[in-house]
Order: sequence, then C-alpha cells, then structure tokens
Amino acid sequence: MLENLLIGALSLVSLDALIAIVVGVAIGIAIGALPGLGPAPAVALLLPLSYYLPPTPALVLLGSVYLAAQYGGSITSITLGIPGEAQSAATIIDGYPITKKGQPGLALTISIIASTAGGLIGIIMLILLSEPLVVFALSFGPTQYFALGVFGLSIVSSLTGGSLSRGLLATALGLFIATIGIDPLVGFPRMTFGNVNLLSGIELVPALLGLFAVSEVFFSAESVITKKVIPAVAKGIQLPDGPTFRRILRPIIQSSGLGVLVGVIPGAGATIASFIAYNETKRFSARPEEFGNGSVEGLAAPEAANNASVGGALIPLLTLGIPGSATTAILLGALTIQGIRPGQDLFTSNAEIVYGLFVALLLANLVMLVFGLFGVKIWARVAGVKHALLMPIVFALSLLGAFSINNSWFDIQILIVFGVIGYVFKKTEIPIAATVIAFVLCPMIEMSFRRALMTSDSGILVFLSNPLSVVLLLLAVITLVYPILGAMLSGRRSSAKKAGSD
Amino acid sequence: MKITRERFTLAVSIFFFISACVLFFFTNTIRDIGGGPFYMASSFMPKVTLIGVAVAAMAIAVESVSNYKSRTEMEFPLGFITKMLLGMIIYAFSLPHLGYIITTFTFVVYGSWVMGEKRYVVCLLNSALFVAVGYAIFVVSLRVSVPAFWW
Repeated sequence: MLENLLIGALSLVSLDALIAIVVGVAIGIAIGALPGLGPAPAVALLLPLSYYLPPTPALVLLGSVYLAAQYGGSITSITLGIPGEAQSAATIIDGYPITKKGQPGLALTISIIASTAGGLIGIIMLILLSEPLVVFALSFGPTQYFALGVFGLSIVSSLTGGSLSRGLLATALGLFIATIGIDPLVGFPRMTFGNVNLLSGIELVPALLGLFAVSEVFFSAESVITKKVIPAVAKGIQLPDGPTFRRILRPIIQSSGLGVLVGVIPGAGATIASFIAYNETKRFSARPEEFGNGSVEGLAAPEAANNASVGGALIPLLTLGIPGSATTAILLGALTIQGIRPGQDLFTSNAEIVYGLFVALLLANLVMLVFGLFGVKIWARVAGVKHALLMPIVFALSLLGAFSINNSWFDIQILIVFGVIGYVFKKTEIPIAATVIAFVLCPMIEMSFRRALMTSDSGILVFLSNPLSVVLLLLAVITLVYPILGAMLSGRRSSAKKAGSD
Repeated sequence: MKITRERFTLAVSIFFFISACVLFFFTNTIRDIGGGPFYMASSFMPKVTLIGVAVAAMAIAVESVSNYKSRTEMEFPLGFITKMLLGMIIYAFSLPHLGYIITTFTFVVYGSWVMGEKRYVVCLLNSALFVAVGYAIFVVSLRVSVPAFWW
C-alpha cells in the first residue's frame, strides 16, 4: 500500500494536478458557499471539463471540488443562518447562534478545523479499507453485482426523499431513462421512437447538469421574490483557545468515524451523517444544555461528519462501482468518461490514478484548511452574492458544458427538459439523488442480470444459488417492506388507542 | 400563483402514471429476438421500470389525496419561470447561429433583469466579466470550440 501511495504521490508531481487541487478547492468552497448550490451541482458543473483533461487531473479536480463544497455549505449556514444544502442544516443549530453572539470568525474557524480533520480521517479510512474490499470483491460475479446493485437502490429509495413512494418513483424513473437507447447486448434500439439522437441514449452530462444546476436556476427564481437575507460579515479568523479546542477534539474524532460509516451506505450521505453525529455528540456531552444555543461541540460534530462522509462515499464507488451519494454517482460518470472501470481494474491497471487521487484528497484537505482560515472574509462575502447575478451564469455555464461535449443541439434540449424535471422533483420532494444513482447504476445492474442468466442453466434461480446474493436480495426486500409494515402497524396501534379511549 | 402542494403532487403523479401506462401498452419500439424466457428479453428492463414508475406514481397520488385536507400552499412563480424558460430556449437556439459572445452576454443580462437585478451597469459588467472569463477558460485554456459569429 505504501508503495502504491508513493506511486500516486509521484503522479501528482505535475503542474496540471497541483493546479487542479488548488483550483478545485477554491471553486468547491465558493460554489458550496452559495445558497442552493452544493457538492452535487458543483461537481456536475465541472464535469464537462473532464472530457478535456487527462484522467489524474480530471479526477483530482472533481474530488477536490466535492470535498471543499461539503465545507463551503457551512459558510452559508453560519453567516446567513440558512442551509446552503441539506447536509449543512445541522450546522445551523449551533453555528448561527455563535454568529449571533458576535463571533462568526470563531464559528467559521471551528468549522474549517472540524471539516479538515473529518476529511483527513475519511480519506485515511478510504485508503485503509479500499484494498481489503477490492480483494473481497474479486470473488464477485454477475450474480453478486446484480444483488448488490438492487440492494444499493433499495436503500437509496427508502432513505432519500419525503417518502418511500417518492424514492421508488425517482429510482424507477432513473432506471427507465437509462434503458433508452441501443440494447448493449443485442444491439436493438429501445424507446428511441425513431429518433436518431436517442440511439446512444440520454447523454449523462446534460442530464446531470439539468437535474442539479438548471433546476436550481428555476428554484432560485422563487427566492428572488420570497426572501432577502443580509449576511453577517466575518471579522476574520478567531482561533479557539485551549479549553475550547480540547472540547471539540473528541466530537471531531467520534463524528468522523460515524461520518465514514454512514457515508458508505448508498443514499445515506452527508445529511444523515451530520444529524446522527450531532445527536450522538449531544447524548455524550458533559454540557448538553448548551446544544442549540451555540455549543462548539454541536458545531464541530456535524462538520466533521459531513466531510468524513466523502471518504466513506468513495469506498463503495471505487471498490465496487456503487455510488454512495448523488455526487459520487456523478464521479462514476466522470470515471466512465475517462474509460476507467471501478473495482479491481482500477486498483491494478490504473493504480497510479486511484492512489494519486487518494494523495490528492489528503493534500486538498490541507489546502482547504489554508483557504478556509485565511479566506474567511472572502467566502463570507461570496455567500451573500445575489442570485440575480449568479444564476444566469450558472445556466450559461451548464449550457456551454452540455454543448461542448458533442456540439449537439439535442444535448441542450436534454439539459432544459431535465432542468424542468429537476424543478418539478424539488417542488414535489421527489429525490433527484435517487434518480441519478439509478441512472448511473442501471447499465451495471442490467448487464449483470442478463450475464448471470446467460451463464447459468438454472434460469432465474441463479440469484438464489449464492449465499451473498440471497442475503443482499433479502436485505433489499426488508429495506423496502419494513417502512410499509411499520406505517401499517403504527396506524393500527393509534386506531386501537383511539378506540380504547372512546 | 399559489397552488397547494398536494394538488401539484397529485397532478405530477397522475402525469407519470398515465405516461408509464401509455409507454407500456401502446409503444412497440422494442424488438425482441424470438425464443427464450421473458426475463431475458431486451424489453424486460424497460417494462419492469415502467411498472415501477406506474405503481410508485399511484402510491404518491393516493398519499396526496389522503393529505388533501392539510392544504400546504406553495409559491409557484409562473411568470418568472416562463420568462426564464423562454430566455433559455432563445439562448440555446441562437447560440450556434450568433456565436458565444453575443448570445451569452445578452442572456446573462436578460436573466439578471428577470431575476430582479435593476442596476443595469452591474448587470452589464457582470455579464461582460463572465463572457471574458468563460472565453479564457473554455477557449484559451481548454481549447474547447465554441460557436462564433462571422469570425
């Protein structure tokens, strides 16, 4: 492993890669700091650039943006008191009260320290766990990959969105959209309606840009007329004193571990990680009464967890090809664009790329610490930039990015249509993340399903012939059925109680 | 324009349900090789996913109807959305013909105005800055070809 890390580090000794780290972190913090834009739109906006860059700088750029945008969202939470993205919601609980006490610099400094520590721990866990998991995955065949894909989608459906039915709709829609085009096994067109442009399927980049970036442009049109905010201007960094630093140390380490564990679960991601970390830190804190009123532990915990979840989400992506979040689904798209397959191939034939990415992410955390500490005033001002000036630029960037891939007017139509779809999804609380993960995973799931059937004589029963496959499929069924049973049982209990009281 | 969330969600779910049914029953754009079980067919995955869409859409419709009395109102700025969509379509359509500089500059100014920025000098400067930076990144650094007018 150390040898591979050295090879990875050597692959970064180029101006391209180092510039990618610095630029990626700066862009990530800036975009993350803007209300409404988070890691997924940030990575989606830069995805078209990966067509024009070599593999290492392209992945390093996108990985750095991902990491930094996780931290950037906390700037909006702390200075504006509104969550930039869902994963920054837990930060407001104690971050904004610290700002209201007149200490925004302290809040932002604790936030960057916790984010950096969480990010470093997450990446170290990624490095330590990747190789054993890849070795374990060597035994996987099409049966196991199919079961794993179904299990991943079942978790995504049940954890994302306002309800199970919304999660299922989003997942099914993502799967259906991915089937449009030529059948990869047989070569016949599916759902193309005679349209030549649809033969190669729905292009990934315009669809992602539409769902994440263009939909946000429409969504921002509402905030123009519904609210105005005035940012608290940070007076600069305010380093925590010794006792404060000792107080935040344990929550940072504990929350980072939780963040990695939760980040591994597809669909769980940074939002759930940050809230679980907050609750657990409050439970074990010596001063729980401070939580909600500006507790430094309450601020550090979710920040460490949401950055640690980056490392966690990258584990299943790089080792098994299963994205742990919407942003890692976009990164899977970037790997596909570069012609790189996650899993064993990535760690053997492309070892310098993946270990280069690991080292780059470690460096990106340190660069983020420097930018976060010394750029506090700048990022606080960025958070207050008016949407009216920014959102047209976001659309123009999205359109240029979508157009530049194939110089195709059809891709622009896809961009706008998916923008409208994304907006409708946001209004109806249908999770876009589930659609994206399903869209990206569908080819792997379908191919594994059909290959497993073709190479076996037992037909559909082949999926019950392997213990791991059986366990994963059973867990998928339980994941989907449990919320429904739970709702039915609680409905019965409440009607029984009502009948009893009558 | 105000609309209740439940009504909007019901309309969207009915749309998805009807679309899934139409695509499932009335489109015949998938050609299958004869023989073999149905789950090996090319049409299997699209049809299974369409069933999933229809079932989930129906479940959401039922949820919306059962929550109808809660009447959560939400803002739906139809005027703004229409103006932005129109601007986007015109920008997209004119980009290949009029080139990157003119269309992007015009769209960013228009978009800022629609979204409520009334300081025209700020709009113009913001737009000019973006066009210049975008050109430097896409064309000069990355050598991406963007549409040009007559030059």
